[in-house]
Amino acid sequence: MPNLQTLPNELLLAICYHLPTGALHALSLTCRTLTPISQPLLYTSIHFSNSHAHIHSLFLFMRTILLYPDLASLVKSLSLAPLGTRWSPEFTHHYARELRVVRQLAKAADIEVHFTKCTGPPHLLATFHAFLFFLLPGLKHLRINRTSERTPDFRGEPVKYTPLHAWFGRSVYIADEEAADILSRFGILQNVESLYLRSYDAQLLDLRFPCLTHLTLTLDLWRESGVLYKIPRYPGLKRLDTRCEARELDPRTPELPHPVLPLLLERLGCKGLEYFGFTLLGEELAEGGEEEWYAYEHLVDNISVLASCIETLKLGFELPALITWSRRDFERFHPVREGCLERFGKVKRLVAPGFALWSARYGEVGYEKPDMGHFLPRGVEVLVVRVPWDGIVEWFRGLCEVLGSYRSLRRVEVECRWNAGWVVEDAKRELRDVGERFRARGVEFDVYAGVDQP
Amino acid sequence: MAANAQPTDAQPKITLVSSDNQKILVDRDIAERSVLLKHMIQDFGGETPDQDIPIHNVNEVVLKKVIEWCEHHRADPPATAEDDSDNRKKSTDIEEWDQKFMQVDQEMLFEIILAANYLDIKPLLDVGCKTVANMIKGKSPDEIRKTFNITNDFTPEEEDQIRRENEWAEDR
Repeated sequence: MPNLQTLPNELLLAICYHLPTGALHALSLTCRTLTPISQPLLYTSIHFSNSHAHIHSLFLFMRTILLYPDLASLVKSLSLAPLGTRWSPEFTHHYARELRVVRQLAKAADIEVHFTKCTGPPHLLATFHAFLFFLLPGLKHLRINRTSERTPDFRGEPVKYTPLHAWFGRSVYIADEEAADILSRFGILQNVESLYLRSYDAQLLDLRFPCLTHLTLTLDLWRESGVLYKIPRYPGLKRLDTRCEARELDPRTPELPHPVLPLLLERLGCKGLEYFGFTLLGEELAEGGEEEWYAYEHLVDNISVLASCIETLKLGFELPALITWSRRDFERFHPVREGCLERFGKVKRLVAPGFALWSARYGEVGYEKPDMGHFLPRGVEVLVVRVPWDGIVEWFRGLCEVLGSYRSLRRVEVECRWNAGWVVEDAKRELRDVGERFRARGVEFDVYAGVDQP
Repeated sequence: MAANAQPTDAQPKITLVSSDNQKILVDRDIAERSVLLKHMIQDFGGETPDQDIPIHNVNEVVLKKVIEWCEHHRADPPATAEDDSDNRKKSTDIEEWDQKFMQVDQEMLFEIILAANYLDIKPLLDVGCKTVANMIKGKSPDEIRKTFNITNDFTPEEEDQIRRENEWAEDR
């Protein structure tokens, strides 16, 4: 008679894949058969938020990985959060034990740690983060979530908190030039392939991850060029995702900073880049007045310089998805977009999620049908369109009629978004007629099921 | 995604023979929900085989239960590459019909999981695994032992050791 303990390991694993952390922990405590299945999974992918409970968990986790290197080596993916503003001097007594742990860690890692009067929880956590990198030799994916808020330090004075600021400068006195030596001595970070950072943490890139191929960076388009000037070169990057925020823009800023995105590309020097993603965040901008207009003009300026970089790099490019722009401002954005497109004359492969506003919604908001003959960059050879949206079939028909304007176009790919409920079979049926029209004009037309983006 | 059953008269039929030598006649498209059977049929040159197909590892009761699931899900779209990924999937949502289908005793539940694995019916295997996962979630080690009739074979020292190692994961 089969039961949980007699299931083959592969099936036990399949069950464990559906369990959250707490349940995996409980399962590993039930019997000897189940521990070797559930415990390794517990360590594969770990997330710590900045809640008090999770901070306490993080301290316990530090103890475990310090005492049990075998378990530490199982950690492949780690997601950390910053310490928020919840801490205050009243919590001092809570972290006396943590201070001891830091000292133990420092002793184990043979690093001299000095505590000063202003050593507070933020610095402690920063130090912990730094040690985590040392102690997790199998780490492949590191994600650090960060808020832009200023965190009060132990004395309530504002400090701009970043782990490495604290590590290199404040709590732990290690000079910059020594850091590289220490890191290489420990042989850590050798395997990290993917990093997700906010630009506040861009200094982490100073650690020179030798295997880094995928970088996701959230940055503010107008405010953070200073940080990026210090980014080292990463010629081996294959994939760069940028999430650009346009919040808190002060329209009275007299001078336009150096456009951030081109600067980023220039600094990273990644000639072998295979993908560049650009997503514009910033919903607040959608509903305002002149200030936003100012902002969008700057966006064009950024994109303009970026485009020239892309021409040089011969990259594919993902146009900003402008779906957060309000209907009211639609008319004003049109020339902005046309202005952008003109600058992308040499882009060969275009992934275009942003057409929705120009296609489906024009009817809804009462604007005229866009001029399809001036819609795509002239040099596009491969057009990837993510669907569905209402009116997609008509949109393609419109494009088909003006194919003469796009002589470079060789191939159209329609990626069906699974989560939108338009299964690929339906898409193929509805687009059959359109596909034939394209093929009759010598343009390949392929419909396939895409893996939804995170 | 479950679809209504379609008329079955025009469908080519296949005879499956369970491990206890019982013959069960099923529509070919239902049998082909099993990747194992689909490949076996392909080995017949794509023609509907006129000879019986033995299913050595699954008895009649379980096989009928599996076929019941396949009949209900006969028109579901095939699994995507995304479904095949090894990433940890925390979601244990199960659609209503499948939940009722899985309201069986534990022996049958594990038999279905083993049969789905043997016959390579990934969506059914997924439903089975999620059902077991839901029985584990939110329980203490003791409660899990009681639920699945597991004997605690740890020494107190071993149990303490594991508890200490994984203390960080408690209450999460």
